[in-house]
Amino acid sequence: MLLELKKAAIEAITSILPLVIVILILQFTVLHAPPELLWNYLIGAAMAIVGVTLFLAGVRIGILPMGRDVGAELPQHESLLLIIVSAVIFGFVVTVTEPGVMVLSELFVQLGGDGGTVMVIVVAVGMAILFMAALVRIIFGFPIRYLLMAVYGIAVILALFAPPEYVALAFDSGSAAAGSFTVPMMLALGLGFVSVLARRSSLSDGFGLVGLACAGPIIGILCWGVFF
Amino acid sequence: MVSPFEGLSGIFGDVAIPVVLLVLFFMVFQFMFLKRPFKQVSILLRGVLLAYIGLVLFLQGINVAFLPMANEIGVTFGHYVDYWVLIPIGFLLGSLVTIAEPQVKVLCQQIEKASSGYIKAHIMQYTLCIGVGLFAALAMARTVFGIPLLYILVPGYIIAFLLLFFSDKNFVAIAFDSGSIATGPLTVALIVSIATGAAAVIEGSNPLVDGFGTIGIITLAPIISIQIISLLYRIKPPQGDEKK
Repeated sequence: MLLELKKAAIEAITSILPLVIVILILQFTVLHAPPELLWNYLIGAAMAIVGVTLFLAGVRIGILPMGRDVGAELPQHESLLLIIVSAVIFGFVVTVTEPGVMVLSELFVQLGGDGGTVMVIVVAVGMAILFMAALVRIIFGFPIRYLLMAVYGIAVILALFAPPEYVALAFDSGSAAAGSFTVPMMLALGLGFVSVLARRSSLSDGFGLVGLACAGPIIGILCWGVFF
Repeated sequence: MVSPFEGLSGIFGDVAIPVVLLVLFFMVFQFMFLKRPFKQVSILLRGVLLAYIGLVLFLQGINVAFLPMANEIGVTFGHYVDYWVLIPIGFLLGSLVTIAEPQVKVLCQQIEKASSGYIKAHIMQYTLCIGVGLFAALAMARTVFGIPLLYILVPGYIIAFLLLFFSDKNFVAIAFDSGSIATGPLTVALIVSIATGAAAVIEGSNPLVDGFGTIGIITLAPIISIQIISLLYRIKPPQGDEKK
């Protein structure tokens, strides 16, 4: 665990420091933000570096193995129902509780959409259905290219008919719905899932869950914009 | 002066719910099927706890450090007569933010592992870094010049679809995954705040319409740039990624 933390600390420092320094250079050349802002900036940047260290180490120690274990277990019961039910529950639950989605629903209400809670449910259902479809696709060996094209194609076509502010919100929502825990968990789950299936490529089959699942919220919000 | 620790407890609460549910989801599998030894499970749980504390600190750091600074950048450059400077700034910060985003790091390492080292993590990292930089610049250009979002999204997705026919199938899934992953919390906070900050001061732009949609544009960056890189990999066909 200590070794993992040390490795993560080096990664965190080397990855965040360039950004911190460039913003500092901007601060002293053009921004000249007030000193209390600068003070907060320095403390906040330090917090972010410590945070990323713990996060990276924790993801590797806890979240990735969990996702891999669950993913590798799912196909072993020869039960499509188990896969579908688990995927839908997982997709729905992680989206409903995601803080980013809450922020999204507040923005949605600001845009004049009524029913922020209903929007959260629409987004979560979209995510759950597509996450499930992405796993079922792997079982049946349906090419991911066609599924991606169909799903994002629908999104783009809907976008042509939806009001512009809904389009902006919808395409922003895709990544808001994929939270910082959901992403590593889904990645590991997909790789674990294909690891126990014969004749599946870990690259073209193990990945793609996040990308497909994130189209769910996009389509959900666009449908809202077009039909209501 | 606002304390840098204000709102910290709120984030602790917000992030706790998804974490608890994630653990609960795992526990159901643990008790029904996995039945891992207690010692192993306790290590996993300690890992989750670390990741939880880490994420809270990271998010708090973003809120007190990067959000206000990004807003400052947007407002300052939006006041410039030549506010097009925001475009190169967008490129610079877009690239740096992609290096800093921890979930991008996790993704790149998983890709290297899944491809048995064939696709190197740092190559993915640089591809994403340049791709996101260019699209962040494009997003700034949209805010500055008030280009309608659809004029960027529709051609962008058409290019992404066309590339689907030519790119290596091993990269297609990765490309779309990266699209959602590259737009992590830091990217969202930094780039969106610059865009909304600028939209608020540039005449004739509406922060609600011109500030949003930025993430949607940046999501396109990995989808397109990774597929382009895959055309280069085509010259050297992948080995050792097919399992069993």
